[in-house]
Amino acid sequence: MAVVNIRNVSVSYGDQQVLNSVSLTMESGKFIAVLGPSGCGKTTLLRVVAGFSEYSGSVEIDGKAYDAIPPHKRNIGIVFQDYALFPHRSVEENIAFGLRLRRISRADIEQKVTQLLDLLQLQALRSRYPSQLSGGQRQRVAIARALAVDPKVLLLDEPLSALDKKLREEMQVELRQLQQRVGITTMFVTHDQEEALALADKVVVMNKGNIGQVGTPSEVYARPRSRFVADFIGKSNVFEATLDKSEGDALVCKLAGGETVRIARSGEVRSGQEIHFFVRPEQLVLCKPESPAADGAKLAGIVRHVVYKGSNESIHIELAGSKMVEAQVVQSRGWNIGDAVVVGWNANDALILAE
Amino acid sequence: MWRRKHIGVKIAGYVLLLLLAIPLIVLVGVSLNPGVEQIFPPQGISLRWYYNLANRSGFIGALQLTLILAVGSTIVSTTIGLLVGIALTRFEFWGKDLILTLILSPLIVPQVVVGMAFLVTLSGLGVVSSLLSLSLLHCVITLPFTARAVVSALATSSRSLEEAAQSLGATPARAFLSVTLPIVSPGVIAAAIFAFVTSFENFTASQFLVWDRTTLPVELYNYVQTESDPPAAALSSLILLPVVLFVVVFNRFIAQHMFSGRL
Repeated sequence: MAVVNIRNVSVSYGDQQVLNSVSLTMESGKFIAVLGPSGCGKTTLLRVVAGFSEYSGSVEIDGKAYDAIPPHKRNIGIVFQDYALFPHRSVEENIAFGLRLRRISRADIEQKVTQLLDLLQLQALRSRYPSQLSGGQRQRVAIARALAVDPKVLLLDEPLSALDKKLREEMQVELRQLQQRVGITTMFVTHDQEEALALADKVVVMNKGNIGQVGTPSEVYARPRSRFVADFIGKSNVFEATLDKSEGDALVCKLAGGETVRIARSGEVRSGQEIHFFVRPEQLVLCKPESPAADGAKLAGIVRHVVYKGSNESIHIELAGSKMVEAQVVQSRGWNIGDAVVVGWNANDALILAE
Repeated sequence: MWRRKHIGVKIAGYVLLLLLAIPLIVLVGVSLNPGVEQIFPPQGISLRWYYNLANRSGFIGALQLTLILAVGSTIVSTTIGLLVGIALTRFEFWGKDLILTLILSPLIVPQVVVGMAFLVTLSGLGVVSSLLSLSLLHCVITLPFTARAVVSALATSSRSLEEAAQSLGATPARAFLSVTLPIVSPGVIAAAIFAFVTSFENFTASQFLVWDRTTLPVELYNYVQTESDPPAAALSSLILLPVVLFVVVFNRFIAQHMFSGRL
């Protein structure tokens, strides 16, 4: 159990700034997902904590400065994207590698390895070589190897990206349960927002070397602070509008095409201000032109595309001014391409974006 | 139709192999003649000319020198190749490409030129040809093989392997020795064998630097200039031996394990 404090960490390669004064606290025993598109600096942040990347700023674990400590003395477990299993060593030898370096008695090593093989259900594979394992099995071996030395912190670099969708979802559950059982502070780097939301206690959204937002999965999903976060976490329909006035709990504003819509009230705003707001696809309400619409808006559009996804359907609609929006509906009312439709929302589902 | 084509390709392949092997088969056959005539097929099987070789001190001395050079230059160039490979793949510095090109240049520059260059440089420096100068030459000639093999083996071994070892508590040196080295060792061993054979059979460059002692290929060349009898064939057959060994070892031992990462 350890608390990790990352303070004002910057990394640059040549004139390229990869991390821009990033600060982050990882609470003890928590599962933190660092989420962002490729090139956002998330893997660099992980390498900073592991000690593999040079940086300015400081990394503290349990109040102790780690900046001068080389990787092999940090006692931090890593699971790499390619798992980095030693190909010339068996599963058992891979797991025991870190223990053997620590001059632990043979019996204790044996006991610890057996315990980890049990924990990760690898008993039957103990004498196999990495080339004889499936992707999911390799990943479990990599986790067991990292956990064997009782690290203070566990770092996972996109560990699920090499697995197929079904296995990935199974491993998500397994990984989360394992992390809770072991109770280790964990940093999980991923570009997959679903994975981050499903696994983490805390999601850190990164973009271009900066942290965009930190919060619980529901916070970053329901209350994204920037357009980038709104777009990156889940899908969102972003609108530009000019504020008119406030009316009870709602704000009234005008879209570019002149339509009046109502959105949720938030913070300090003034009349005439240019704003962006967004509505999630599942919160758009679709109805036929003649039926009563939701209270937030009544925008006429035409269905341009329908994607069937089994449990739901996503309907792509063209509004006035060629603006495309996407709505997600659970039960299809039989929308067809070319249908006239009215798009609306409840005022409190339309949220202003900070920038 | 396809099957017939297949057979045609097979036959062509075997004919080609036979053409490649015929001169060597004839050579070995001739060396086995019991008499002084150089005829093929041999008129019986005898190791007479091989025993004859053993009694000529010139050949024995040449064999000794050749072996010393081959073993020595293999060890030195494999070690240097390994160090160069580590430097070129693990560190960033100015002039990397230049260094690799320089090391590989003996592959491209004709050996006559390499040998001549050594001779001119050494005599310019007032250095007399000796075991040392010949050793130096053989290291330069074999280094391209070892350096290139090590560089390509290290380049394909994932950097994250060493980092994983370090995260588990291994020092950078320990991580290299216990993880990377075992993985690249099949490539390094293959390179060492290649270096050995290259040194063992080198004639072109070596002839410039021999003094009163010569290497086996040079000795053979000197010998056939004046005589042409079965001992020459026997000697040639003997020089073939390490090459054959090399091919067998490489196929049976190295090539199989090369890609599994285990040795």
